[in-house]
Amino acid sequence: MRGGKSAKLSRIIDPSDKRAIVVAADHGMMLGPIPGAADLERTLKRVIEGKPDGILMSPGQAERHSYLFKGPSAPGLLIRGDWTNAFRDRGYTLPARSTQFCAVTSAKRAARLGADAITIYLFVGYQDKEQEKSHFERAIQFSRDCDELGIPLVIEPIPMGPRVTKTNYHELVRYSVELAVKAGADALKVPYTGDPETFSEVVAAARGTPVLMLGGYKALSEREPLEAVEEALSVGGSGVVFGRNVIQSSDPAHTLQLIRNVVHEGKTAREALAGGQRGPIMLRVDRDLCTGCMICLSACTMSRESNFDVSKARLKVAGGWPGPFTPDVCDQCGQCVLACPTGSLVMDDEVGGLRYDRETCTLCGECAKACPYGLPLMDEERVYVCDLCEGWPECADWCPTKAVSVVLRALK
Amino acid sequence: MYASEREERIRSFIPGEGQKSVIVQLDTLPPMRTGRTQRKNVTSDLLSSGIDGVIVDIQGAEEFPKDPQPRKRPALLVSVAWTTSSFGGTEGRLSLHDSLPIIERALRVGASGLVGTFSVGHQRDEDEADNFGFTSKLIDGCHDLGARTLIEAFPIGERATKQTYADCVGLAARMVSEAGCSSVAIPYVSSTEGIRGLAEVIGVPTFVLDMEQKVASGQADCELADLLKAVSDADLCGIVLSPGRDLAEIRQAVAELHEGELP
Repeated sequence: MRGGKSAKLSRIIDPSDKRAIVVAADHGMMLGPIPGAADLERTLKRVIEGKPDGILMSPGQAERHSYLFKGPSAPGLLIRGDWTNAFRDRGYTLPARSTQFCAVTSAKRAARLGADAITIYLFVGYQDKEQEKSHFERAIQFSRDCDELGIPLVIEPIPMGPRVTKTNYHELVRYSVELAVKAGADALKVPYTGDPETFSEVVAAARGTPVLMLGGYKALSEREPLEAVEEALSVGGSGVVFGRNVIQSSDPAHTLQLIRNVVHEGKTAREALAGGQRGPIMLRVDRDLCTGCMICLSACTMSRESNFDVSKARLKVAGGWPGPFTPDVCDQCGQCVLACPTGSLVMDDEVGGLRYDRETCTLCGECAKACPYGLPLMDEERVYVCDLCEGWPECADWCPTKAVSVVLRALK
Repeated sequence: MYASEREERIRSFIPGEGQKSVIVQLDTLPPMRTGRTQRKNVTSDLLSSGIDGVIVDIQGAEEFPKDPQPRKRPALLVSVAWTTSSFGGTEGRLSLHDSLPIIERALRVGASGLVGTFSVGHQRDEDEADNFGFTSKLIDGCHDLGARTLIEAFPIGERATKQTYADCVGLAARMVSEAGCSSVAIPYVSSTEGIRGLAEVIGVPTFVLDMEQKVASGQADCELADLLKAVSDADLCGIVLSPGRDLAEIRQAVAELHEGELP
């Protein structure tokens, strides 16, 4: 990459660790005033508090909010060069009937607006091959214009359309990345393929061009996208471009801090979520926030039993539709420990959860009788008690409304 | 700074805080503006009625009466008529190579801005993509030359139902706002609260668009009085009146929106 482009790209991809966190805030052009994008100026101010490396915006918004990009600590500015209707799904006001795209600005105007990079789509999988060809040609044209002006081009290669299936998806991501590199991409914004093995093939196909993983739809939990980021980075990914997971977050700066923990500080998703706080911990419940989705029960049994048999969950959610719902979790009151006549249950002082010894347990059931919430489950084989997932409670990680959350036990 | 000339031009048709503009369409984009070819009816009465702007096509702009008192002349806005695709056909649609010289010609005759239309709800998604592509090129071209844009953004067709109409208006208007237009004109959406809510999320100065014909199944019926009330109560920038309005109605709009100041 030549001087001008290289200097501009370094405003987005940190040269010290060659990684980047970019926030996509261009949704208004594709989907209208969706949550998080409606009052974009307010959202952007909150996003910038989280110190992202770059923000992706439409040309109109970039012009109106240019004042937010002034100064040495301001994020880099990426300008969206094209539009598509591809993200208008069946539930949308005007669902897309066929995938369309068009250019919305030129490299020249983006340069005048102070762009540090231009971002465009490159779709593969169209039913109409002419359309695919035309999209590729447009990418090449953008690439030429960007070369002339010394602006880095970030291409977003996405398999899209009826020819894309679950089976060929990761192959198509890899293929579209190859095309994007051929078209002249200086960096790539790529969907995660779902596992590190296939994503490593995608990174290899990029041939050294930085690969930023895109976030896609808003995830149900904070942990899910962070784990994907961790996996993507582990096989050579250069960072992330997150949109709705940040701009629709109740606290964008906090969400960005979690992402920063993983991308720039090299922490695992679990460590990032723990924020450095280790046990003893406990679960806290806010009944007003519970929507009765029961994801906590599934997360619990998946973590401890490797299945979705929620009858083995270590927590309960009482109530029926439309609510209210009352989650009951083990608060480590210790009544079961005191009631156990054989010492099979002890409190883990390091983590805060319960430890259970099957060898000494006589299945007398005293623990269940003593629990104020009636939580310990018992069958003919064993007793099921909450061990707080050995310090990383999955129920809290997956709860979409934070009705169940983790606090340090000292705060009790 | 290069934007200054655009700022100067925009002041001529987008009012300052607390003020409202009355802009009158005098061009003839079929079939939305079937009223009449009013270009020939541009009389000194109309020009002195207190209106803030007129929308004419490029020929109309070149033939526009030379006002002896230019300081009181309404702002001249030139429409770029490449939007017939909005209504199902492609005849008469101009390409970028045609619209760029129009922008230059418009500026040469003293235009304050260019006017385009953008619609969502097409039966064929290709038409929306074409329409948005051309609108974006118009906006881009105007930026190149320091001109301002007013985009009339509205839904068309059967897909914009009563239930989805306001959302469709919001989508169309927000799309052109994101592309970088200077101002938008949107149709009435059944209540002042609805139109105020839209104006808050569009992000650029917003006018209410007086539509002569029903072009979407969910389009609300409304009288001029409803539109003027919406402009005042929702604190919009003003109104873009259709060519079918007669001089008395134009005067009524001016009187109401200029706080009772009769011309």
